[in-house]
This record gives sequence, structure tokens and C-alpha cells, in this order.
Amino acid sequence: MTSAIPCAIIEDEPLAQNILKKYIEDHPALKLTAVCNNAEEAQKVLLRQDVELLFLDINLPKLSGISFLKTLPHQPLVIFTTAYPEYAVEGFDLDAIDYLLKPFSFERFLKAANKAVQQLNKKEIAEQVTPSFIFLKADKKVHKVNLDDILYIEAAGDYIKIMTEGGQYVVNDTLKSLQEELPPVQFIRVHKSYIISRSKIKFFEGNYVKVGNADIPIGNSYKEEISNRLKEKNI
Amino acid sequence: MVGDRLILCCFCQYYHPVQIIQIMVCCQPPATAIIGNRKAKSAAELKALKAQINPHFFFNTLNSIYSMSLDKDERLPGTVLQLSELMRYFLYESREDLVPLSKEIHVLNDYIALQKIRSDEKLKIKTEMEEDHGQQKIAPLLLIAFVENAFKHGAKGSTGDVFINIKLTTAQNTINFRVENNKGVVDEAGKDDHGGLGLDNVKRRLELIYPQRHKLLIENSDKFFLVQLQLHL
Repeated sequence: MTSAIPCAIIEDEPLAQNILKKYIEDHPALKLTAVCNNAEEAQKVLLRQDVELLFLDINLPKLSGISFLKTLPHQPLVIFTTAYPEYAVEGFDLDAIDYLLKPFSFERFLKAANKAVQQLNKKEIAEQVTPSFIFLKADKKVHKVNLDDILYIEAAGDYIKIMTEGGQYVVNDTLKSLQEELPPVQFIRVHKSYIISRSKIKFFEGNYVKVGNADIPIGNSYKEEISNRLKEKNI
Repeated sequence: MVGDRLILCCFCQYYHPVQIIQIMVCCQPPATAIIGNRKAKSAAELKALKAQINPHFFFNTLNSIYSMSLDKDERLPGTVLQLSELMRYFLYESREDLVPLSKEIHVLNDYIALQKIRSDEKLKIKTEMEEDHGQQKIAPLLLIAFVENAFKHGAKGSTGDVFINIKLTTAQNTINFRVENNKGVVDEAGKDDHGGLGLDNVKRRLELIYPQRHKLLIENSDKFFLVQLQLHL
């Protein structure tokens, strides 16, 4: 990606806007270009400027976030932010990227933003522009990590360790949820505690796979799939 | 609604022009004999109707608190205390059939303060509530239901200025409570209740708790919404 993604906040409560403003400022790939107090303001803004990602509250004055979205001829990517879990289903019907329940942490926000970044990346990869990457929060910093640099990812209690060519990142997340953000063509799960990068595999030996300098165990429940993929030379 | 001001009659649920019906007394003539069975039924119904504040209010308030904590906002400690009081009232104290009127009003003020924190400068809210209520008691969460409704429809119904005026006066064993708010359109798709259930619920509670001891006047014009409640405690 060459430049930051232009984002807009559509939210009627100033304190709720404040959270999103801070989070977007802290995200290196996002750029806040508009804050709208209601759907009418947002409609005007979207006519004037190019916004690629909306942080959209549902319970807005007059026109709800859901109704507003339905009025748009060209939908930007949408992340709903709301205190109303009952709208999650409808939100996803509208192809929302994610659904943030207030209040939400920066880590949870990051996960949603990463999904948006990945989607926009995919578009660009299709146009052969740049390699893709992911943002990870570790040591109070938000790191931009190239997916190509990742060797493997290991679960460690409430944390996961992302091992890269350049070092490791310890992140407060689960393997399962990180896996959803990673492109399946590039990463495979080989164990309940390990995800590996396919391009970093050196060799298989018994119940282990060599990735970089590490021996990664292959879990029993993953063996069959992996041996099938080996047979099909699809690994 | 067009033209003339109409009043929603809380008895027959139809709108009437103001000039025809000036006041609506919302209580059925009492049945000649209230048998025990029927009383038990009302008690069960009351329990089912027990007012509950919208859970979204709590999550949105927590979100405001979260936002203040990011900024180390000086309003934070006070807001946490107000929310705690409100929660204590909703979770425990409102289980009683009657609570001191002063308590209900105190919590009402906390509720309004929390709503204010969430709103922007477009909200103009005016409250005039008498301070001294002696030993008077009231069924809990009656008054707050009308105020909650005003915030829901006033603040969420307009993208421009929003006003809410609240006035409470007492005389002997009577209280007069008046809530007025601007009216607008509240989008169905974003509505956080189910078709105005809130006020139907409170009307039914009034009928059960204060039969023949209350007057409820609801004026629903296209510009504003006005509730006037007179209760004989």
C-alpha cells in the first residue's frame, strides 16, 4: 500500500468520537479525514471526498447507520461500532468488515482495522503493487510486520509469539483470531499451538517440520491434512 | 399528523384533537369487587412490567467513561460514582414497591447528568425539580421512564438542536411532573426499543399501582412531545 487509508467516523456522541480519533491516529495505515455527527453530514462528506473506510455507529439521530449504508451507491469498507449486539447479523448482511461492541480496546480495534487493511491490500495485490503486511501491537508500539518475514506463530497462554526473520513479537491475542487475519494461501495451521508460513518450510521429518531454525511439532489432528497436501504437492 | 394538535389518549390509544379532549383521566372505573385472584394477577403483571432501563444506556455510558479514562478526564471519578449509584438503584433499591421520592429524584438527576455527558452542545436541557420532598414515597422508576423516552426521541430524532424540559412540583400528597421534548423522526432500523414499548409499559404500571390516583396527559404534536403526569401518592 502506498498511502494511508482515508477514514471517516460517523458517530453522534463526542466521547465515543474521541476514542476512535485516538485509535485512528495511532494506526500508521489509517488517516482520519472526516468526523460526522450524523448520516446527513456523512452523505455530504462522501460526495466531496474519497473515503475508503467508515467507522459507523448504528444508533444515529434520524437516519440509522444501517439505513444510511443502504442509501450509498458505492459502499466504502464499513466497521460498525455500537452498543447493540442484536444488529450484528444485519451488519454482516451488509458486508461489514467487522462489528465493534462499545467499549472496545485498541487491540480489538486493531484487529478490525487489520481486516480492512487486508481487504484493500488484496485489491492492490490483484493489481500487482505491493506485498502485504499486518499491524501488531507489542511493547506499547504498533508494528508493521511484513507477512513475508513471518516464520511461524506460536501460542503461549494468553499471548501469541510471532517469530520473524528480524525478531519476535509478543501479542495479546489468540492463534485462532490471528489466523483469520492471515491469508490462508500463505499460512497453515500445523498444531493447536502453531501456525507456520508455507514459504519458510525447510523440510518435514517425522512429526516435525523445520521452519527457519525451529522444529515445529505437527499436531495429530493436523497430520492427515498435511500429508494430503504433501501428496498433492500443495504445501 | 398534520395541522391541529392531537392528543394521544392513553386510555383508548387513539389521537383526539386538543379542543375536544382537554384532559384524559387514565383510570378505569373500579370493578365493584376486587377478588384476591385478580389482585394476584396484577401483582404478577406488575412484576413482569417492572421497569428496566435500557441496557444500551449502560454500555454507552461505559463507553463514555472509557473515553474519559483515555484522556484522564477530570470528570471521570464523578461519572463513575453517578453510574454506580444508578446501578445500585436499578439493581437493588428499585425492587421495593415504594421508595422515597427524594431518592427517585436524586437518581433521576444522576441519569440526566450521565445523558448530558454523552451529548454534545446541541442538547439544551432544563430541569426544575423541587428539592424538599419530606417523607413522600413513590413507586420506583416511574418518573425516569418518561425522561428516558424524552432522550430517546428528542435526542435521537433530530440532527439539529434538541431540547428537553423537565419540571417537578409537589403539593401535599400530589406531585406534578412534566417532561417536554422536541420531536423528530427516529429511524426504525436503528431503534433500540420495540415500537415505543417503554411508555406503554409505564402507562400500564400507573394503572396498576395508582388506579384512580393519576392523570396522564400526553400531547404528541409534530414539533414536540409533552407528558404531564399528576400522581396522588
